[in-house]
Amino acid sequence: MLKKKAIIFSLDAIFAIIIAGIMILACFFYLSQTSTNLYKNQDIYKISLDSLTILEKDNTLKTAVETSNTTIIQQFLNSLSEQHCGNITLYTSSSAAILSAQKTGCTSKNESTIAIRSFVANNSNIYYANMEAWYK
Amino acid sequence: MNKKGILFTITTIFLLLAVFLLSSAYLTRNQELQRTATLSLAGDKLSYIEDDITNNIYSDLLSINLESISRDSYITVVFNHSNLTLSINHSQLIQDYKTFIENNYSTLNNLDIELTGFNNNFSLSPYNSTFIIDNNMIYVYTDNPNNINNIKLVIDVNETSNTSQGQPTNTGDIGVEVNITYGGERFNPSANLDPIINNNPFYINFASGSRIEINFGSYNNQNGVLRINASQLKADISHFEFRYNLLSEKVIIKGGNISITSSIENITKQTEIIIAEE
Repeated sequence: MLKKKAIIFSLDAIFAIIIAGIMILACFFYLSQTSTNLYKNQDIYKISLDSLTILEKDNTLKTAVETSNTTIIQQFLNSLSEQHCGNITLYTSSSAAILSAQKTGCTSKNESTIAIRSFVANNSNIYYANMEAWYK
Repeated sequence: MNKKGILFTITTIFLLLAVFLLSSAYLTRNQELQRTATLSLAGDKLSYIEDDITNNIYSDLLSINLESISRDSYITVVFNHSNLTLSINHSQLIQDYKTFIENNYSTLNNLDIELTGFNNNFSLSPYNSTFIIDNNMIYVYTDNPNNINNIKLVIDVNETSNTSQGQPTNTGDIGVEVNITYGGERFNPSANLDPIINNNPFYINFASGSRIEINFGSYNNQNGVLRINASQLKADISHFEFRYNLLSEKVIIKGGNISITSSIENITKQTEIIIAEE
């Protein structure tokens, strides 16, 4: 009689553990499907869009091409907040790279976003700037 | 004792079920937020692309800038134009830009962009004036030239000595004032002209063989056409003023149209290129 009770008790316990385990695993599975990476990437993408808009509208990109000097772009990149890294490369309309600048102290890239902005310089020639941004 | 056990089991099952449902709801909500965020970003991106392509592009490629639009007893629109010369092919510059945007730029942004009616002219409504900048020539066609009250031009040319100059006689009631400076000299005639006849031009011939000429009147079977021709010289038009009779509608200066399609998010943005509005 005591043996039977013990077996039922053991089976009941095993059954309870299995059900609880399945439930907990299902919860972990659902929670693992959520991601915050998208929001992080959106942030750095929007920073790239804003940066390029500023640099185009205040003629920094145009001046850089016309003087072949990236000092102001470099200063702008260095003024980005501590955790943000960025690289700006200027290209001709036929995609030949002509100038490039990268934030000082930034090297490795995990996940990065890329934004493009076109501009006109040097007697109506067409260029575009490519900004790659990532978290430090 | 048995009852307590059953109660404990049921409570545990309900608690586990609650945690399970909560995590499931969290996942669903998270996915919805991601979808919303993705669409919002796509919308931001299309607006950014539109601004990038259209902002200041007529000024950059056609070298014409709007200075002001003012409304009192007339509507006065003032532009300036630098570098009117044969060596700049405005039509080609616009075509090159259109090609770049529709090919390289579209590919780089993973979008399908189309510019229609995008060329070396723009229109001013409600007067239906069309401004065409073509190499060393500027043409302004106006559907109803009786809406024009006065035209004023201040032009500086890179010449020094003139050989002859001339101006039209008064034929109508649209005032045209011209002020041309060259090598420290000034030529500032004016005349009241009839838009439906082929009036004589305002002109200066220079010793180098170059000539600046301004016509207003009938041209190519259209009345009230203004033409500025900087032949073999470089002209800077520091003041290019059109004064129109008052109409209640808002003044809008429009270029072509732009269509941006993102095939990934299945969104299309189509809009007119508004250069400026009152």
